[in-house]
Amino acid sequence: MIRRSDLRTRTRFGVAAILVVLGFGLAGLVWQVFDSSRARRALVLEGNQALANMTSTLIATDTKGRLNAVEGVAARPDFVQHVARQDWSRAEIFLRALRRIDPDLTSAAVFDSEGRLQARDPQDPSVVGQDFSSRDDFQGALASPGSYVSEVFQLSGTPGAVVVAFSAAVRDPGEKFVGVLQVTVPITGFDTVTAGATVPHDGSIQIFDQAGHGVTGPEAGPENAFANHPLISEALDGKSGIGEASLPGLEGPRFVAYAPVTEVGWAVLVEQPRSAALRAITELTRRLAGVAGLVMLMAMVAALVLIRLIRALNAERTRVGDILATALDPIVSIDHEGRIMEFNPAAERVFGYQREKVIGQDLADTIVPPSLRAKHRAGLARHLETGETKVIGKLIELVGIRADGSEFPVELSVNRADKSGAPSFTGVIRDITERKQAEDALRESESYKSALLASIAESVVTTDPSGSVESINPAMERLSGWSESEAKGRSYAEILPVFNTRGEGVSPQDRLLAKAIETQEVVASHGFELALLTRDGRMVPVAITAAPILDDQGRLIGGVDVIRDVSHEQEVDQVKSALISTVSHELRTPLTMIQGFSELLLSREFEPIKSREALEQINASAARLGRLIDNLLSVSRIESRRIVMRKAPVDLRAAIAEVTSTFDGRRNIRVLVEEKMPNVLADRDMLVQVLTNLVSNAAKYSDHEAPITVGAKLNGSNVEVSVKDQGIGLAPDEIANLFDKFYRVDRPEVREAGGTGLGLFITKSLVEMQGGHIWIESMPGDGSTFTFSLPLADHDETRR
Amino acid sequence: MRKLLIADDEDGIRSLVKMTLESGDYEILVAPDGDKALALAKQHRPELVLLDVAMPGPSGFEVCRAIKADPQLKETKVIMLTAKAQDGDISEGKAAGADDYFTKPFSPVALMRKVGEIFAESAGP
Repeated sequence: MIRRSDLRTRTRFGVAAILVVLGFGLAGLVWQVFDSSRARRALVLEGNQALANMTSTLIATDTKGRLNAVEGVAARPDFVQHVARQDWSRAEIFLRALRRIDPDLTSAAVFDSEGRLQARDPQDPSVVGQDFSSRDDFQGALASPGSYVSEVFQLSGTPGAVVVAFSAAVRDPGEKFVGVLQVTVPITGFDTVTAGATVPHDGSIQIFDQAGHGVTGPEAGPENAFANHPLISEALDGKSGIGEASLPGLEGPRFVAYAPVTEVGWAVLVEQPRSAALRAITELTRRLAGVAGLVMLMAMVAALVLIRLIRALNAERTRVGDILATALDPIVSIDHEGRIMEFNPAAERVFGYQREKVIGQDLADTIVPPSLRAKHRAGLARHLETGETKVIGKLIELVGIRADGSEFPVELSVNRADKSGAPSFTGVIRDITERKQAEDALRESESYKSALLASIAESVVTTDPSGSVESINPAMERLSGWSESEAKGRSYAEILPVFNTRGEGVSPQDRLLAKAIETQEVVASHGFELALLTRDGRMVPVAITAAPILDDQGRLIGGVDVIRDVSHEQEVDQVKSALISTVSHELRTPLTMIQGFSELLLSREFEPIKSREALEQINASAARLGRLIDNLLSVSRIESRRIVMRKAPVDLRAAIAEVTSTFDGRRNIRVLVEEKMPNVLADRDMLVQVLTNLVSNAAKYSDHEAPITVGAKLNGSNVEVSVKDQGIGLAPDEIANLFDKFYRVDRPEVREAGGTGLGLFITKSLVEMQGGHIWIESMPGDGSTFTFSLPLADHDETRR
Repeated sequence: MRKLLIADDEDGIRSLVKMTLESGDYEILVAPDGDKALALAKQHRPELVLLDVAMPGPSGFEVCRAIKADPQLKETKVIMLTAKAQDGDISEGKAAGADDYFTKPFSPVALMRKVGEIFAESAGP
């Protein structure tokens, strides 16, 4: 596997390298080609130069033949004799012969030594005898040892014939100058010289004579001379070269190559319009640039690939130690015996060991915590034996131990290497303390949230904005009968139906949560206006507070309903209403009597016995009002804990006697108390009130004739005092709430007896304040026994 | 002697009403609860019944309705005597057919006058 990937890497490397070399080479070549405008122009001009030189040679060759012919005739002894003898008619035969040999000749003529034309073919009498001694063809022939090619001129007597003359001096055997032989050719004949070669990019070849007249081209003719043109003059001076200039008769700047035609003293110019030449180059350049760009791009991509490959190769080749040194995570290598081979700087930092001290040591004794050492050694041994592994090639979480003995969570990945015989193992270790802490924090916050919801006594349901349940807390599970898993995803209005006081179901859109979500405001129910229908069909009075859930940017993400079971509050409320009704009744009755009897007494005279009866009624009613007010005040003081208690040793027998004496003559009360009853620790006034309440109740709810028994007996360190009657008795369900505030047994005989439902509540509170307990044993129709306990005043005294 | 019945669970109230009306030379019947009141009313057919509302057994309203529903007692006038003074109670008393209403505490003199008026109207036997 390693080899295959190596091979692949090498192949890639090779291809990329070739691409890079090719790409950059080609790009370089292309770049050289269009590297500068000078070089581009030079390329064109060099071609032109060659063409100019070639043309120069062609002209020289072309003229040479004619000059030879002229020279040959001029040197013929017979022709020389005719001229010397001025036998012009005989000389004329040679002229005719010349033109016959070379039909392109416009004319052939001979001049005498004075420069006068003596004979001409074709014949033209108008010019015979005319003096041409000042003309250059005559002067040139005279001056040069051989033949001479003249400037461009208009041939006399032949309109339209623009010609160049070839002339040679005629000398007798004694070297005496006797005349000049001359032939003319039309300059148009030179066009054939240039016609063979075509100059690219709208270019042309132009020939100028020694005076700068155009032989070919737009300015051909004797009219204008351009010997002063910088490039023409250069060529006329015998130089060749290249340049850029405008040319006579041509528009725009031109690339020009020039060369002299030394044999005749002329100049050859090869010219191209600069724009056309450059346009071609530009096009080429553009095409080349496109190709070059593409190649460059490929080369760059290849280069990038190459760089990456080089890096990868480098990375592979880099010594393990280099990686170890720069790695941020601890890297530790061990040999097959578990001894540490490598321990990088990060490992030093994290574990607090120095590399030199742990190299060669057993890994198990250093960074493996004691609890994992046996496991580590066994795992290594098993792996070496069977090849099994639970560690290699995986990412596992473990605990590491630092030099200072502190343990911390780590993440470990291990690889095996088999390079030099025995296997070795390299582990990369990451300290994940922070990550663990973050995970714990997250878990904590999640569990905190659910713990928070679970700890809320009120029932809570959360929904998404559409009213679909997302969570309900345990209190809601208990109240509604739905489990959270069942409730999730269902409509809260469906699983938590709510009814109003008239028993009508509240429609989903009228639900408080729907309103809270719609208005994004908190909405709450009032009083006992709503009842929840539970899954098992119970109607539970509830108070609901609904609120929208908004995220930190104020976007609605759901709703929350807090539902409180207000059964108890409703009961209390009903009890309170009943109390108010009771109290007002209890107040109104004595008040009615006081007001009624007194009004009666004032309204007319009564017999003394009637008056007395009325006054007794008034007096009893006033006392009754007083008791009622006392009771209410007692309750108020008990509840606000403002009652003042003065505990002291109390003689129980005396206290009981004081209470029973108030019933003397009215009820039969038996007192059963031991003679040597020790003192109890109590508030005497409170004790008397407790006894009074219990004896009064016994009297109130039993037959007038039935005896009441008050007893007291020791029980350990307490005294238990009981008040027993033979009255109506109470059922167990009546006893359950008997000592509650405002509770009244719902029976006619109890209602008839009157009362506020406060007596037993006050009694119990007073007993408990003094450190005792109170309870009742009773059966309906079988009387009741109320018993309360009080601590003895001095524990030790009782033992003596 | 013209008969009237007093029904109230409070002994003191019964005494008060009795003493108030003694001078009017009536035969006064008393009942401590609703059942006894109805039984006495049927037995003695008093011309006037004074009913406490909150009584053991049938309430004053129920007794009132029973009296008014009894063809033999249709001439009987009923005055409600109650500690309850809310509008609801008054309208319930009217609905039950009560002829008048006294709330406690009440004026014995006013009650005496009212009883006198009622007996005067019915003219008696």
